[in-house]
Amino acid sequence: MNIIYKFIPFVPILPLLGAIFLGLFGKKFHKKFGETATGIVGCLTPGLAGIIAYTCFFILLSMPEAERSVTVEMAPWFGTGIFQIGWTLTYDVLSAMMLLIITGIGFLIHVYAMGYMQGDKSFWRFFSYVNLFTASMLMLVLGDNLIVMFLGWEGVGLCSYLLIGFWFDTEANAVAGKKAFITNRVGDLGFLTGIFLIMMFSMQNPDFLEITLSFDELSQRIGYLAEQSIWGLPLLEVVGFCFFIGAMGKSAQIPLYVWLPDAMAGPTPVSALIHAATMVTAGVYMMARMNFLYSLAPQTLGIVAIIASLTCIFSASIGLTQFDIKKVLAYSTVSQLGYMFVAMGVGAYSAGVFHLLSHAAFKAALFMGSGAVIVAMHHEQDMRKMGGLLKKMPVTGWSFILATFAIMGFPGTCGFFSKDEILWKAFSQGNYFLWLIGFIAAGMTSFYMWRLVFMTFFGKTRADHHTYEHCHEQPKRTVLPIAILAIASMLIGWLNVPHFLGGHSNFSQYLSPEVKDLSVAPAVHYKELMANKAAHNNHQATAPSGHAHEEHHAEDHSGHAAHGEISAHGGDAAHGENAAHGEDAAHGGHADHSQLEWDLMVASVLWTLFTAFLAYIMYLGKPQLRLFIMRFSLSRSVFTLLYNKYYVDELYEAVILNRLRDLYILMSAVDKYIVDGVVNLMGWLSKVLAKITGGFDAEFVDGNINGAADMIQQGGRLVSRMQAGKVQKVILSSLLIFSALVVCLFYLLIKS
Amino acid sequence: MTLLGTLCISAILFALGLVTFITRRNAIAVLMAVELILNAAALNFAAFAHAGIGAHILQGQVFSLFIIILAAAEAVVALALVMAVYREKGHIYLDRLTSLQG
Repeated sequence: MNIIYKFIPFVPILPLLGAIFLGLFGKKFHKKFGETATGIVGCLTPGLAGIIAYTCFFILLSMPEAERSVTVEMAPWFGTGIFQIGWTLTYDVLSAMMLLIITGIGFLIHVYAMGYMQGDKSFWRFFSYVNLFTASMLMLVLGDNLIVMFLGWEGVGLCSYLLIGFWFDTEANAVAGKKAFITNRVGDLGFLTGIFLIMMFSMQNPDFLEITLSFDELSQRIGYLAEQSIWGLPLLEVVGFCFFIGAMGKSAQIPLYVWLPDAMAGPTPVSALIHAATMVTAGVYMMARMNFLYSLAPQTLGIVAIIASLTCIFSASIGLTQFDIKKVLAYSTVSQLGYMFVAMGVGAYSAGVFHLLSHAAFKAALFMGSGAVIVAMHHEQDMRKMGGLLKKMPVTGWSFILATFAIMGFPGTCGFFSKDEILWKAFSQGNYFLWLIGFIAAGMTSFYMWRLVFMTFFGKTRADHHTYEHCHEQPKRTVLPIAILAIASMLIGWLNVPHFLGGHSNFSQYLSPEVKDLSVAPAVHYKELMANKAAHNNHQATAPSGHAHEEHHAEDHSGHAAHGEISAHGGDAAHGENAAHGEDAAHGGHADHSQLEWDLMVASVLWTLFTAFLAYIMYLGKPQLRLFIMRFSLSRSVFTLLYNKYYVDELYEAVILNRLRDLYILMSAVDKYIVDGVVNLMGWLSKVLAKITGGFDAEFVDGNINGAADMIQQGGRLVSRMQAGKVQKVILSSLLIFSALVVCLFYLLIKS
Repeated sequence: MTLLGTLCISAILFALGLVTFITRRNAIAVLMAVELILNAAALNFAAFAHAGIGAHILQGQVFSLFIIILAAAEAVVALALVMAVYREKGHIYLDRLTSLQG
């Protein structure tokens, strides 16, 4: 406890220091000590953070389940009145798991990048950015309140932009970076709106003496927030949807997924770290973190599930036809993210988080493997020019194949446990449609992944002779991380063996203090809630907490808590309404469901094996079959449609970007002729007026003043002659005057 | 020497001094002209004293002495001023010392 408290702040701070050091002094350091030293400094900080994170994780495991949450208040940040935001970190089961992914996989990818980025002229800049990314991502998951989380959220977006456009001297890369950044801005607007709505409604309650926006506080006040409504909609639905828009942007869901495939313009370690393992899963993490909110927003969850399942199958089908090795993996990532959000959408948060974990492992391995292939092939990404690489690169190849087994969901691998868990949760809650889509997409996943493997590693090479001869296994620091992650993706799955296979769902149970699945958490229906409002208010006054959560705490550790217990507290939670959410399905009739679960699992395994076999036939066994299919115009047009990604980019171009451009032209015309016209008219009028008044001023006012001044000046000049100090002239004139006087005097005397 | 003769000399001295004062540009020449004028006045006093005109026999002569002392003092101060002007301007031509002119 104490150790965690002391050391957790260092986890985000260390990579930040690394980023600052390399950013400020990296160039000189690179010049003086060489590339290896720079790389070691870059790897050191996430490595140290990783040591801390793993140590803390085991300390956390040794603590009793109810106490597995540490909040570290580092410093106050800003505040006005009751609104107090602090630099507060929270280390609990969920963030501990995310730290393991970020620092563990992050460290491996740093090491891998040392090999991949060898000889790049901006080696130090790369490590500075990646360290900054790691720091932001750690801040995102450790943040105890929405504001700190948003800080990390923006930080990872920034680093993603910097790293996609890392080789910015090629224009396409810079454009891809901008696309990612701008698309994410759309999502961030949603995220911010969510935060503001929560703030606004929290401020309206005079009972809240302090507002910190921390997740703990939010979950305690969720009862109050659930009663509010905005624009005639329940507040939590709106807020949940706003946050989901943020997640759409960050985690590449329809309609904001377009940036992720383009983001492959960045260096491959970046694709592995940011665009597969960590950043894109931030949306999933955010929803898991706010599961208390989403559990009270069933409509939003429905929308999430629909969008996610569409994303899942949509991008999987695009992946079927791509030839760029990284593009296939990119669409696969979007599709897998769709799975995670399907899990979120059916309220199986822990299943989504588990898929996040397993996806991070196998997708990072796949990306790094593809990176090694790309480097070995002299930066060739087109799979049509590869083939037969297994002999040349055995370690990379076999690791890649292991990871492919994991992603297709071969029994025993992590993808098997996590994907089937999601499909089962979707099915068991009565969402057969979601299950069907997920099932089909799983087959597609298996097909395009095996297609990739067969085209790249098997068969006769299609590369030119020179390239193929020079193709060789990459250095150890590149290959080892791939192998480690490939092995990890074999093993991670055993953490969460479901009950029907004789396991105990250890992972879900581990997450249960923080992440409460919809099926076990109190899902309060709004109508009931409104009806019970008065009672609820009392309840709030005496103990302003989501005490319902705590009640459940004791019993929700096991997925199959007795049905009777669940109904027992149906008093204030509208239990009857929840049938649709599948409590009965999840908990009743244990034995039947085991059978059904078995059947579904066998079906999906057979289906993925079948599509894998199909890929084998079409790309390795009998290529003629492929040519035969392509002879039909229907299949050709389907292929063209998929190959061109359903023309979504073109659609956006035509519907949004061109309309925007038209709008700009219109606006500029309005600006030029109307706004500028008015301004110019006013300018012209005032100019004329100014001329008139100016003339009046110059001729009349100034004339008078100048005349007076002139008169004074002339007089002064006249008088000043007397004061010129010319003594001789004075004397002369006085002599003349004197003489004149004398003459006059004489004249007068003579006359008289 | 009659009173009239002395007064004539004094008048000529005064006239010479006045003409020199008005016409000369050189400051030292002007100072010399001032000396002439003062001495004309002093000669006048002395002449009247000699002729016995005045409240006391010595009245005019004492006045003459005063004028001589005054002239000496004036010469000292004025020459110092001329020196200062020369240092500052590099010349002592009165018609060119016009910086005070408005």
